[in-house]
Amino acid sequence: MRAAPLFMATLCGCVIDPLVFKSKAERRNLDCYRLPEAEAAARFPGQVPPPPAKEIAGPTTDVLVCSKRYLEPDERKARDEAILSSLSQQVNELTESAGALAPPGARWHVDAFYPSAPVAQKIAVAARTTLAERGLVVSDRVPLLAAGDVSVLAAMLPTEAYPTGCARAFATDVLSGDDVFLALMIVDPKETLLHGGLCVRGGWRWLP
Amino acid sequence: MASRLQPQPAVRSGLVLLALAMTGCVTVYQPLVGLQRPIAVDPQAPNNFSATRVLVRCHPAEGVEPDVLCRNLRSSLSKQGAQVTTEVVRPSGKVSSSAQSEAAPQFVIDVTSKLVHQKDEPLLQLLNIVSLTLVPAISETTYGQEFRIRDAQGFVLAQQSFQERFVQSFGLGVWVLNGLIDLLIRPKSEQVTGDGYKEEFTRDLHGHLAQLLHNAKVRARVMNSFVTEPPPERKEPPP
Repeated sequence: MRAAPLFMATLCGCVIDPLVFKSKAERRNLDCYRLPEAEAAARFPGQVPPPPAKEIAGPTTDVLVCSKRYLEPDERKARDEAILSSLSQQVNELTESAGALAPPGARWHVDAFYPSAPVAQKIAVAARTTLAERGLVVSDRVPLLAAGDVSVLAAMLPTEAYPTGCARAFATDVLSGDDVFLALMIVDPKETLLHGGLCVRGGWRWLP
Repeated sequence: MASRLQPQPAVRSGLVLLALAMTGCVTVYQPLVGLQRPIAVDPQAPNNFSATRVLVRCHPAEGVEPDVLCRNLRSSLSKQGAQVTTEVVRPSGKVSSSAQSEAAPQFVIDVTSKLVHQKDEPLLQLLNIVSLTLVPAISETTYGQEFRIRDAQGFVLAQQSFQERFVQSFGLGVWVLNGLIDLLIRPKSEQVTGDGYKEEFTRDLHGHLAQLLHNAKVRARVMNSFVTEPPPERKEPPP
């Protein structure tokens, strides 16, 4: 008897939503987006049947495409997850702004300032890759200041630390006139939005 | 003899009414875009936005009530310490606003909500009626929200889009079955009968708005070279 609704739904061409049988946690662990039926049939042959010809010509219905996320919820810290799940978009926007402000032909150096070292590494690599994909010259060397400079900068507020560090890097020839340094960071423990700053010839500028 | 076994019209009507009275909805909520991401702020904290003046402007769209949305968002931000005024933009372009604040807002949140997708199964609805709602009628609705936060000068500080989907099953069979499963098997957090889906969606949406506003506040500080804004000048009452 319990199969009757399923049978009748199948009979009339309707599909019982598989979502109904998933737990709340499973539903939240899906990334979904809508596609026109014709496009979904082309991208997922065998899983989505091709729509009738009259629907291709006329108004079409949508198909919901969902994929399970690689990591389970709570496997990473909330802030790390929030930043990493939108990393490519954030890095794209910041590198685009930086690219417009830097002199042409510059050699790019990138570093990220984030409380978790593995996440900082991911942010920096994403930015280097994005800049390289745009055809810019990107160095994998991270400019390092002397230990004494770093200890002084660590005691400063971000508003002073980054401009001072930038000026110091040029004064001590850690960066030369052809180099630009792109820094990506967060400045507040509860924010999930990356900020960017650009150091060009000893002058620091926050990216819009 | 056979006619005696047929239920009387009054009994039949009573059965139909009883079936309809016992019928309920089972609604499943699924965050589609953005809403399932974690947040770093605690939207229950009362001091998240103390001394922050915010204008929430809700734009009209098909299938949503901007008044209700604006009122709910105002309540949520006010509980976190913000001074909130709201504006509801009418389809005609006219704006109706709540009580004006004494000082100009520091942040303007534009909220556009829209019905993205809606699907009903007419045949299932027919079967639902014929079977006295034993066969569930299933409808699916997807909504989208676009939040854009600007500073007082109009500079966009943060923006994000969200989408969520509600699958609603209407019928006696599905309601009784799920009610029993809720009662006997499912933990309270997983129950699907009742209004749990509304609470879950509201928690997600308000949490993300709080996170977005917090991000916008920090971004505004960075853009202003970390200069803290002086307290607003109060309008002097006329002598």
